[in-house]
Amino acid sequence: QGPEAGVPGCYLHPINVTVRSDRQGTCRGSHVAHACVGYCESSAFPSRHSVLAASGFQHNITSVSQCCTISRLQKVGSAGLGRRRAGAGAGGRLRRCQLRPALPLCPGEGGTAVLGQPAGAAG
Amino acid sequence: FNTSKGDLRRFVGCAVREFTFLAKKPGCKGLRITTDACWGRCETWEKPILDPPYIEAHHRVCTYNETKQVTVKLPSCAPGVDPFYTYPMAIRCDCGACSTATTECESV
Repeated sequence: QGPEAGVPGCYLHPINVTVRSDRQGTCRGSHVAHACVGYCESSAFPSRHSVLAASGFQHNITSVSQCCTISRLQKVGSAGLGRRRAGAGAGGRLRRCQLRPALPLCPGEGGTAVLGQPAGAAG
Repeated sequence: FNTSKGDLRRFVGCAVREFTFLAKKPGCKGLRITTDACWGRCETWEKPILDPPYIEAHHRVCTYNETKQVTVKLPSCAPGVDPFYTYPMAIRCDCGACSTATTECESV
């Protein structure tokens, strides 16, 4: 939980992501990414008759929600990961590892990483 | 549950709240009903992960935890039409996953 805990809305929250060069994890490293964290503003109420009929009289409750979601992702490069196995990769010629994990963009306190509003921002 | 504007802007959690709707079905006139339903703000997050589907999501919504079924009689129903209308009234509300077995889950 970040400093925004307890306040309605949808916020960027830093998390550590372990990134790797390939599925085998030939090279690994840690990267600070962002999660979108907040509160889902929602209500639940009796379903309309048309909703009831369409669901075979199973859905007698309707829930409408506006949750905190990732609205945009940015690919970032992460160079110079530590090698896990010496000589791994293309015939042992591996000198540097590089990969592009997907990082989210949602609102924060300024900086170039903030490009837009998160989907479902509340409060 | 205090429904003053200032309190609602800051409220975090899930609570029973008064709700008014028009109960109607084909062959009957509608009946305006005020009952207890649920409203609130529940924990939600999404984070990027390296493998498909690349986003891990955790969404909880404010929904009915305990209900009572209430039956009312709709006015002016056509002959042969069942005039009774049953709807759930909230006794207790909680944050939880939206169950598609019992609930029409909509997001905006």
